Amino acid sequence: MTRPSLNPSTTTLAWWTLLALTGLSVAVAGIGHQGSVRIWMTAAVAAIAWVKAQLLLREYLELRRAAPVFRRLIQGFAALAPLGLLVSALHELAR
Amino acid sequence: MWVAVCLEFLEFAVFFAVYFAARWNHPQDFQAGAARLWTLGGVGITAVMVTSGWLLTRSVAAMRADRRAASARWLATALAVGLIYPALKLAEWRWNQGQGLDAGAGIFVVVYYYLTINHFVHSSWGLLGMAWGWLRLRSGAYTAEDCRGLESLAVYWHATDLVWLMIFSLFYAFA
Repeated sequence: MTRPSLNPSTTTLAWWTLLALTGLSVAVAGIGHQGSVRIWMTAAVAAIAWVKAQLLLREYLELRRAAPVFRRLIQGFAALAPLGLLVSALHELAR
Repeated sequence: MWVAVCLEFLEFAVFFAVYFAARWNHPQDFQAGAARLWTLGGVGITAVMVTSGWLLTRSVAAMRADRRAASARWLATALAVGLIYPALKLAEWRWNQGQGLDAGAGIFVVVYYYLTINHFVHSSWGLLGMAWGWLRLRSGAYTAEDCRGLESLAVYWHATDLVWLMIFSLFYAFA
């Protein structure tokens, strides 16, 4: 049986990227809090969260090993919080 | 294992629904909420989660390459790093107490405790699983051809890691 391998250099790069993106999201969140700036800040935080999730799913979790139905369900969960953040921010801007 | 992971995600999807319902009705509380939390603690927990996850990938890769001793070392290190999480959580709760962040401190804080304590419980199972997996690995239960137990443990921990990354973006990275 051919087994998918966790390439050490790839997973190490993913680890460093996850750490860097965490720092970046905190920095982005501190930029601005009002009006349209807040929307862009929220979009950036949501995008960073989604990218981090994709990195983790691909390089750590080996999601490609899962059956298609599980891949779709897990991808749906990974998109839930970023999408919710965007919708909430739009709702708060419209109030 | 994927069924179990999906069930865990379903559980947290419900928790996230609680978060967004509360936020929809109390936007001011949530906009001001992140600044009340210990951001450094949140960053520290994130670093611990992704680092222990990375160490687990190394343990699984070593076991697949039939390097049992190396796999055991990576797994023991993953457990040691993972154990920093409860220590950080304890420090965070103490910090919160000093800031008056208890159950009476508003809807944001209540939802924050609701999600983070649930995540802490799930992570604790993962840490216990790592300890059990290490004992199994040392006893020769896993081989390069069949290390599904170790792989399942890693999948569970990475799933818990994914949940934390979402929690981080919902609470700590939203100043």
